[in-house]
Amino acid sequence: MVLEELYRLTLGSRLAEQRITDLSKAGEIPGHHSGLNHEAVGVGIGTAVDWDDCVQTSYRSGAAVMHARGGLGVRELVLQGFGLLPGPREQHPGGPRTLRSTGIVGGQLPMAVGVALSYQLKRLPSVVVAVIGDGAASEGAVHECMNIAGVRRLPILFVIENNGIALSTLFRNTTAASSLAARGAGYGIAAATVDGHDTVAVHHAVGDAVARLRAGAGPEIIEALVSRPAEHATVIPDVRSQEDLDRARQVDCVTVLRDRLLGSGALDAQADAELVGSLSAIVDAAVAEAREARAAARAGAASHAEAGQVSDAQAWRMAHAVPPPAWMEREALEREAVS
Amino acid sequence: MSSRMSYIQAIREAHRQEMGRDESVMLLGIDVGPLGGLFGATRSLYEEFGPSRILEFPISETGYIGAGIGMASEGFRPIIEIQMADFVTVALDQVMTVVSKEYAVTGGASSLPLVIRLPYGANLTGQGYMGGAGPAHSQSHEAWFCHSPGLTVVMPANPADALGLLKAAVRSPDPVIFMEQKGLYYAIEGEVPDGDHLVDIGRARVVTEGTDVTIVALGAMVHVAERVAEILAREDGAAAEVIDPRTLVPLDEQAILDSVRKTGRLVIAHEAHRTGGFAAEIAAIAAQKAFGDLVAPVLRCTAKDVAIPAGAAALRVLPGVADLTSTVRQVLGSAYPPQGAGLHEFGRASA
Repeated sequence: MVLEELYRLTLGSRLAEQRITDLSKAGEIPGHHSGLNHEAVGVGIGTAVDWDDCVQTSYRSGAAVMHARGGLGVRELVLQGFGLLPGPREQHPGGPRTLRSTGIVGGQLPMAVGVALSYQLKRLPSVVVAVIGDGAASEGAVHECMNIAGVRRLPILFVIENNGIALSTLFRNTTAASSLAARGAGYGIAAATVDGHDTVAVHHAVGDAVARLRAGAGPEIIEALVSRPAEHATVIPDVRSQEDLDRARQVDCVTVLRDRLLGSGALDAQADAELVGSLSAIVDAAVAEAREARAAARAGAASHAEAGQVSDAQAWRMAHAVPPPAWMEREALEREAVS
Repeated sequence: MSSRMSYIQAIREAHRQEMGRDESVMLLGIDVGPLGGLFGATRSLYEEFGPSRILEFPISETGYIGAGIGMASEGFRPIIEIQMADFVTVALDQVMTVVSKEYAVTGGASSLPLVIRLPYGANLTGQGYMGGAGPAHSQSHEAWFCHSPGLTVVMPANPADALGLLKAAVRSPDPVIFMEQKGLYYAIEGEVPDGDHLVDIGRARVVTEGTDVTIVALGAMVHVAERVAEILAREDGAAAEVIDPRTLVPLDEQAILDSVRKTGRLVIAHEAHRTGGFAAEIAAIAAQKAFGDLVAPVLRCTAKDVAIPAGAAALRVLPGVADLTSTVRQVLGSAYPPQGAGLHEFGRASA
């Protein structure tokens, strides 16, 4: 993949992410776990996997799905931010295989191991790339997953986005070791550290690992070192010291790539401005589309409070693939007849 | 035609039949290979199906339940054996956050056809060693899973139901919690129909017919209730109707309510603790839907609310024949309104 394309994808992800973050801070969108400055990881993964591979992102790396081959674009990232499209970890009909998260960090990882085990049992050439953060790395589920993947030589790549902070707790206060890649040795898994601010470096590191996984070389860990310039979520205050905040804002993944392109002459300031303009236009249009769709949906539907509770039988249908028991259906009908 | 087998043989036979019928059915567990599981439930299956169908894992309940989740989403039908029900506690995030919610949170786009087998409880049968295996090896957690919508919860009490319900569970598109009573494994034998014997999920069984009092009994308490019914018939001339719900979610409310409307009296028995136990749910259903038919308060006969002691001391906190007999007699000896006492006095006179 050419450098210019990786830059375009990273920049597009940034513009969408920045807008969603801003709109969330302004109150138009509920609390958002901003993925600012994590775009390089998502784009690097998304451009390194094949259609048939499975990607499970953490909540900061939605761009991974966006750019999985034939996947989603800038418009879709914005619509997701508005809750108008399935999230980055949901299955998109006709899209590449993605795995959902569960809302409990680390708890989503075991199912990714199960998908990798399925690929191995079916002798498929596909691989799984599962992304967690440094915070999740403290969960017991993560330990069990890495151990099982190691002992069964599963085709799974664990990418740990280490941004140095878990909600408000600094990495140095959660982990005595200086590196999460060092854990690989304990599981008999190959592990490496990569500069997570560099889309190109992530793209190549993941691409090489995926190729080894496909050849049956067993699982790997990549620790991508990134930084979180903003709050954990837009509704939670950042309590870091100014010194820690300054350090977290020192390196920006979009700037890294832009400077490299400008320096090599592959891009000039005018072309860059035009690129920013055209991608921003997509973001603007998507925001307008999302506002319209949301307003229409709200105008058309009775409020949930007015509509009242669903019946027991309806709740059952929402929760189970099999139909509710006959008595439950009958009661729902009787209640309806009374009212 | 039928074959006589123990409860644990029936569970093993269900595995054999379903794994033979459908090659997407896989067994996941700890020590389920050559050993055949901690209690021997899957003994000899490894020789028959080998390591490509029987997957052994390290002691990582979260990890291998999660592996089963991923496999179910990829078209497999995993049967996940937990060595003892107590050990699922370390993996409840997988069961309650992921498994139970999959269908709802994906808007029905994805369901997880997997079975989690939980060997629970103590031996209450009166056969062989009676008592507990200590506070962390004797528990009955069925109520937790009933409280996590999306799960199907079945609880067979005899070999035929164990086989038929396990086979039905494997074929269900929904995740099933299979509560198997480990005290029954080798203590109970019964006739199991030959051929493809399936028991409908969600259908109760009337174990003993009667007109004077309904005893809804779960798991091992079904066998206790049968003995109590015999005692009551012999010593009190009372006809107890014993009902085994077999499935807790979805509960066969119809069968329970039909019986309560006939007898007017209800006792619920389970070996799980009292507070928040499933007996409370059944009592609430009776109060809501059969209040006018009840002639006596609904009583529960359960384990006491304390950790289950190791050894024979467990029998001091677990329910048994004596406890259930006296509980049913309280209900039989009362009429509504109670004679000569306020409602709050109920139970003291005959206790």
